[in-house]
Amino acid sequence: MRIPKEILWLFVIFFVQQLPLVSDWGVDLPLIFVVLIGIRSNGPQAAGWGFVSGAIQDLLSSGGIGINTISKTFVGSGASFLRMHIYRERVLTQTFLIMGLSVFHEIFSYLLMRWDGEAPRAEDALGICARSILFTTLVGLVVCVFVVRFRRRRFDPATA
Amino acid sequence: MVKFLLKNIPGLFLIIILLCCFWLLLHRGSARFYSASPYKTEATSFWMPVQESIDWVISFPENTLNAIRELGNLRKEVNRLQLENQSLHIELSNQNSTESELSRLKVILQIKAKLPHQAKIARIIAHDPSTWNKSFVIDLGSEDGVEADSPVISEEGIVGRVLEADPKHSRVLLLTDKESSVSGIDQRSRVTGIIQGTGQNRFRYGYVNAGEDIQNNDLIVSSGLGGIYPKGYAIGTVVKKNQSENGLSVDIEVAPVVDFGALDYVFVLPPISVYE
Repeated sequence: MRIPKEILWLFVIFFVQQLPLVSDWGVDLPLIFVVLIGIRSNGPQAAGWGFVSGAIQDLLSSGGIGINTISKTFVGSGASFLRMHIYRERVLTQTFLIMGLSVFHEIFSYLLMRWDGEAPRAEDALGICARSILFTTLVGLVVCVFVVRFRRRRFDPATA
Repeated sequence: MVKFLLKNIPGLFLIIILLCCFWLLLHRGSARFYSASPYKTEATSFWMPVQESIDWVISFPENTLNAIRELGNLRKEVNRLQLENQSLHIELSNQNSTESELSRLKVILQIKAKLPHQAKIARIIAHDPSTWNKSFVIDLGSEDGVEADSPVISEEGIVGRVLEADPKHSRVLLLTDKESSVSGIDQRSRVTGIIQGTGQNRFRYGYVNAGEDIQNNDLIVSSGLGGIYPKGYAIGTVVKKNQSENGLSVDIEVAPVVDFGALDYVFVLPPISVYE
């Protein structure tokens, strides 16, 4: 039986995500994964990957179940929708997409937490969001460089 | 006489050579013969460059051939030495990390012996994957006697409390989590308040009246109220104090004494209800 490589990637991502430095800096590796999968999948597939990675993140976290699941499902769908309007094999485009969807994810998560009654104070939330968006974008940039280089080498060696 | 000499030059030459050899044989053992003389030095300094050049010309092809022959062996030797070097580096770094781990464990055991309550040492195995929550998982569970609401501390101060315990592992909610709070007291002025997590590497010291005596660098320790954390463990130091807009309370920021990013071992104390 062939295991989809995305599942293996999910294992690696969640292993790295639970290392002290990654979680302390607020890097959201599952979000980067969902965005990069989303821009190469159709809507239902992207939403599915968003749902799965969000659900795993919620299950492994001390927070309430559902916040990451719902938010990442929307992130996956959004990335899949935007793939029609962008040239996706470009590092900067992907990085901006990661940044934009990270902003959306943080705001959406904060609103869900507020609705749930477990949101931190606004000034604390601002700090958490800013740090997470910044470091997720920076790590996303590095990941995109590798992904784009690898895909070029694999699918279009002439331009690699 | 001259005619005779001219006629017998080769014979004379031979006789002179024989006499020289005889003379050399006679003086063979004398130290004076071998001692440096200006003639010898001159002769050596004249001849040696010539000798060297000839020697180089003769030995060059041989050396070159030998070098070519040796190249293959040298490459193999270099590869072998590089591999050996790498393995020695790995061995050394393993040894260093084992040594540092050992010394850390020794310190931990010394601290454990000093703790007033029966503490269990736990290793942190995973951190919270969510950006909004602050927690980690330890390698002790309910089978090891860990219960929910057991306080978790480090050698520096309070880390958090056990949120849930399964048979093998437990999740610890850090004091920095937005859901965490603990009753604290200023060690200098004895002003009490509530330490609240912010989701970042800072606490907020709330419920303190505006006129209370709180200064920067004051150490806040646990007051023992609230039924979860024992009394007297360090929480953090005051770093910032702002008057609220209405002037009735102060907004106090506290920096944790525990370096949450550098933690790898923690102590799990029994729930406060067990010993109080």
